[in-house]
Amino acid sequence: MCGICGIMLENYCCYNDFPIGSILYKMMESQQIRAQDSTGIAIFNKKFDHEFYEIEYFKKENDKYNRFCEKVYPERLNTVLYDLNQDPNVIISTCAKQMSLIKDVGLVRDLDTKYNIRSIQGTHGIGHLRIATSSRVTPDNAHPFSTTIMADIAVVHNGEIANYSKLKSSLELQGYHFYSRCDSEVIAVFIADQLLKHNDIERANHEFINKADGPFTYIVSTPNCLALVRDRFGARKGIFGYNPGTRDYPSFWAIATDLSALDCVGANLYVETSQPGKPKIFYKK
Amino acid sequence: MPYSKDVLNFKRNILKAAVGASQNSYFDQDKLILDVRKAIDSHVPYSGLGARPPNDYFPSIKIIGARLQTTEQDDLCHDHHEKNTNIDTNLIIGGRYSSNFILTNTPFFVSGMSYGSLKLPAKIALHLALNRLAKEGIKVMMNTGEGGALPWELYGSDEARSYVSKRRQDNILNYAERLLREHHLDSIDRDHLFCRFYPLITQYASGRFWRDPSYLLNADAIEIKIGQGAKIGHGGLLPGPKVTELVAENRGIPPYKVAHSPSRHLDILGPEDLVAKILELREITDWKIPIIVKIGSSRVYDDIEIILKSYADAASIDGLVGGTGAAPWELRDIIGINTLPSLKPAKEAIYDYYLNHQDDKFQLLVHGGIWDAERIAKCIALGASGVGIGTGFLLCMGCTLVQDCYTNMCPAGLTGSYEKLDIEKSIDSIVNYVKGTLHELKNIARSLRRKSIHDIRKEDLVAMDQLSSIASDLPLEDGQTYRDIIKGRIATVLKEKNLIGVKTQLYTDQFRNQ
Amino acid sequence: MNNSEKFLIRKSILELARTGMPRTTSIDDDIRHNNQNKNKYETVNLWDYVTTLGAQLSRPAYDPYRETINLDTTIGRNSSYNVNLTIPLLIYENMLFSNDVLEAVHRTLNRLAEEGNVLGFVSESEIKNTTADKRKYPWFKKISCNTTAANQLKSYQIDSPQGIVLEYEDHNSIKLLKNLRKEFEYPILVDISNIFPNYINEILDTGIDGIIVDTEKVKKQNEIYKTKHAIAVIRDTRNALNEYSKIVNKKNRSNLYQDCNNNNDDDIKSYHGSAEVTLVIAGDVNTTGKIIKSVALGADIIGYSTSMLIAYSEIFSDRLFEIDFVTERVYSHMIATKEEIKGIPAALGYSNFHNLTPSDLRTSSIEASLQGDILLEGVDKTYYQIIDGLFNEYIKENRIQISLEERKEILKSLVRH
Repeated sequence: MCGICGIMLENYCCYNDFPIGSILYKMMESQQIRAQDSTGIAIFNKKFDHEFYEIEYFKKENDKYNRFCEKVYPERLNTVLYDLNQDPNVIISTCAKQMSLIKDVGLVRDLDTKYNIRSIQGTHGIGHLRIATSSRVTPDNAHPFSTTIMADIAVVHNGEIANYSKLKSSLELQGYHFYSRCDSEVIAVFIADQLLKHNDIERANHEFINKADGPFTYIVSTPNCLALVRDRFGARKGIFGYNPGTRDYPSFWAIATDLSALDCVGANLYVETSQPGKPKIFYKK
Repeated sequence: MPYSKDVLNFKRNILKAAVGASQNSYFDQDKLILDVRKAIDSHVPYSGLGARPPNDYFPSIKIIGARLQTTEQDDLCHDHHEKNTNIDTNLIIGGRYSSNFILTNTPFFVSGMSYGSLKLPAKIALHLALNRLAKEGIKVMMNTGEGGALPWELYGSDEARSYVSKRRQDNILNYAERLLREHHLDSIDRDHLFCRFYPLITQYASGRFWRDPSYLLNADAIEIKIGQGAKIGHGGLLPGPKVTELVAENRGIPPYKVAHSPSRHLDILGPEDLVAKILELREITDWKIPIIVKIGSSRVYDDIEIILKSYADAASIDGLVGGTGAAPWELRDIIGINTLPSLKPAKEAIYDYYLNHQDDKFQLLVHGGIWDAERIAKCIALGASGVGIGTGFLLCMGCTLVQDCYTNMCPAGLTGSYEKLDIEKSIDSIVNYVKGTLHELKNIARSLRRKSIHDIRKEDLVAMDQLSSIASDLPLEDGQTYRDIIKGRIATVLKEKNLIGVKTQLYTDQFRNQ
Repeated sequence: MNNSEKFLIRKSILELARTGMPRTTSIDDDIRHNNQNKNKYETVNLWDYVTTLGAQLSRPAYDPYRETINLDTTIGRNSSYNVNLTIPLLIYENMLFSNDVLEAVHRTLNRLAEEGNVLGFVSESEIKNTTADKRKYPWFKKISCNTTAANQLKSYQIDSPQGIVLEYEDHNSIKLLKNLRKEFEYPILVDISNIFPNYINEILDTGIDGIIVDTEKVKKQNEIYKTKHAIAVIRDTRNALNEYSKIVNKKNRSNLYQDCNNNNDDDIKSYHGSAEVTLVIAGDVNTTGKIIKSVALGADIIGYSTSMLIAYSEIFSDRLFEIDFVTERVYSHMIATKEEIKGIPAALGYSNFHNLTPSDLRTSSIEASLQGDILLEGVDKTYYQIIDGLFNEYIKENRIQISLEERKEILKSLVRH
């Protein structure tokens, strides 16, 4: 895990077509030297709201990961998921309606060449640069992670969930399916499970802070908000800042691991570090 | 440790009580003394030197055909002109990202033993011995250890001294004088002492026990210590009585208070922090000096993978049995894995990395329980580039392995203040040890008909039991691997159950259908 | 390192140091030679072959001197009547100790509890003391199945313990358990060492809060475990509890979607309570190293008797028994043990003691790998997994068809070789 970044536009209604992908790209490029294994972004745009779900998955064939995408209507969702889960080589990477999640191995430059991320428009989004600590460098282990329990949830994570296997087995006992071997996936599944129970993002994050062990800073994004969360000891960095914008340029809040990432996009007002153990939530207005 | 009569009586009474309580009849007598110490001192008991797990793996591995002493036969087989050819035993560190590199004449070097855990006479003996060896053409590296460098190590040359102001020079000389006087070593020739002909690695540990930038700038290599094998996950430790005023001055800490270094570098919490730290050091040293990263061996594959991506020149792994001046007893015994099994995942990490990257000179150094030439050769055969020896050097200076290093009462005068160490004798012993080990290494290479010690490969080794075979992926003496043996067993069991017949039936059916 | 090995190593290196010339035999040659002459029947303690993985780069270490490490444990499936311990140890009174010894232990536990170090104490009767010092630590009353049910219930209603420990004798004890569960709301722990590993699910279904397994007792009484090590007992118990959790979770999930029409009180308690059954391991776990390894293998709380022994050992000394002196000793021992127990999880990268898992353990012995399902050093696979993998390869290469039961049987016999 290495660099995380996030952006939330303040008045998106006026800047509906603003390509926030370019801001995320700038932030990630500035940190690239520190982590070059894999990269990924997730951007939310209400315009994407389809009546159908977009299920993207990797199919592993002889060490090669092939990408597939299916458009699934709500009535068929459960059957499609059930069928896909039967195949051990299938790794579902996205379950989305309003979200565009793109991730791959390699540099952010390559991601842009392949998928043109700089031009993606939206209201808020997150990005990630990875240097692997414990699972292999493959496209399915790249961040952001989403889950099939609930659509439109994406998590980027910097750190290590030390009691990952314990959390994973207790969630698996409750019937949830895990697709990758990366410990960050457990954050997405845990938060989704909590939201199903009480739909309070702040409480869900507090539960995770209490239950999880190890140093971590993550951003979890849903269609309505971004939440920046640091563990109790504040072991990993997490800061945010504000760019007031100009007449032609929107104002936004930016989240990053390092100050230089905030500087390069001009988000140097009201710069603060997020308090350890207290989720900092940015709501979509 | 010489325990007092009270302590021993206490231990005896507990044993009597244990026998009386019929349920818990099993009591480990060696560990019982720990309970007694806890009951009396009320703090965690320490111990010195390394853990001794019951299975060390080294005795279960053999080098086929290697001999420590060569015979005329070996010399005859070599080309007559090459009879006295030098077998290559050099070790080169650096060059992957650094513009300089270190060249030493031995594949082994002195592991980090800090000033503080070792007393001054022992440090001086090592320093002078390595100087003498370097003048004779055998350069051996030394690592300063966590506690900072001594003045003659950093300012051993006029050139190094010329970079500092006169006032600072005076301070340095003054401090050196005080050190020598404190340990009654006034008789040592200052010119003899204040020079360094061997390469020095300075250790960048979590305690940051130095206040002088020359520590990083005058070094021949920098070693970032993430952890050591003796106390993986625990920082450096120096008990109060050993933090004398001069040790405290060298480290910049208050005297006579126990020095607990942080368990991790407070600014290195993960891989990207390590990258940032190494880039910072590169900038400070102008990309000239090699940087090594030292870890204790536990999650070896993952850690080496991170180090490979972090702009370091070499990685150093320290096994469970690595020694130390002081460590909490239980923590030292139960954390880490042995030296030999950690070589395999390290090599795998390096191999996997270079599948996707161009091969550059990344070195792998290994420490922990390696004392003599045969063990060095085994490590090199299994993939190490170089080997660090710590306890071996202490042993030749007279260590009696009582493991009381932390008490300040070392019977050999190495880590304690009360006995006197014979420096001249120690220097001779160290020189003999290095020369003898080097000679043995050359003989091993010669008896295997190799031109260089680094040409000894895995194919020259065999394992003597199944476990070592699994841990190091070596075949057994009869040529079979553990896989062959297990598959042989499978075949036997299946035959007993007449299951092989199914296959014959399958083939018969196919034949009939044609 | 035993003393004979130390001698060999020293001798060898001193020879080099003295002569500077190559030796005739290496250290490994000497050790091999020495091992041949060693007593082949020396008992080997499997605990010593198991180590843990420390935190370095891929997982950073915590600093116990500067960051708080959590040792808290809760006993109880019911959220309102729990026992909370801040050190995961239960002090056991195994035989009738004299009043002085008990008083010393009582004072120590009180002093520790005042400072926030709460341990539990298990005994048949509450320590009645002369100083009328109120009990500040949780006491678990030990009852056996021998006395009649009526007497049992009456006695504990007078004493008001924080929990009950019942020693399970045979199948008749289950009735007593069910009655106990109805009457007593606080945690009930059942010592199942006598009947282990049978009837666990039945016992847990009565709604009790935890089980105690004494590895020494099990090894003595149970035929299967006579040749095995405590590691195997702990692992098997934890596996049995995990199986039980799976069943309860399944039932809970299905109950979420249907109305609960059960009129049977017992059933409701066992389904709607959590599956958080506490596992207490006692016997043969008497040093910090073993405590850590047991918790990594699956224990939640350790039954620890060294403190009692320290207090009891004073009887054998020449001095007069001074309660304050003994209290001081037991207190010091407990504080040092707590520091040790805190230090090790931090060095493994955990800020909570209970997050240790079996994947943190490694072993350098095939026997330990088989008994405790522990991964081998260097290869990160258990011995069983290695055999399983090679077996799959073999039957694939030779295209042999084999049924699941036959496969299990064959793997068992291969491993036992």
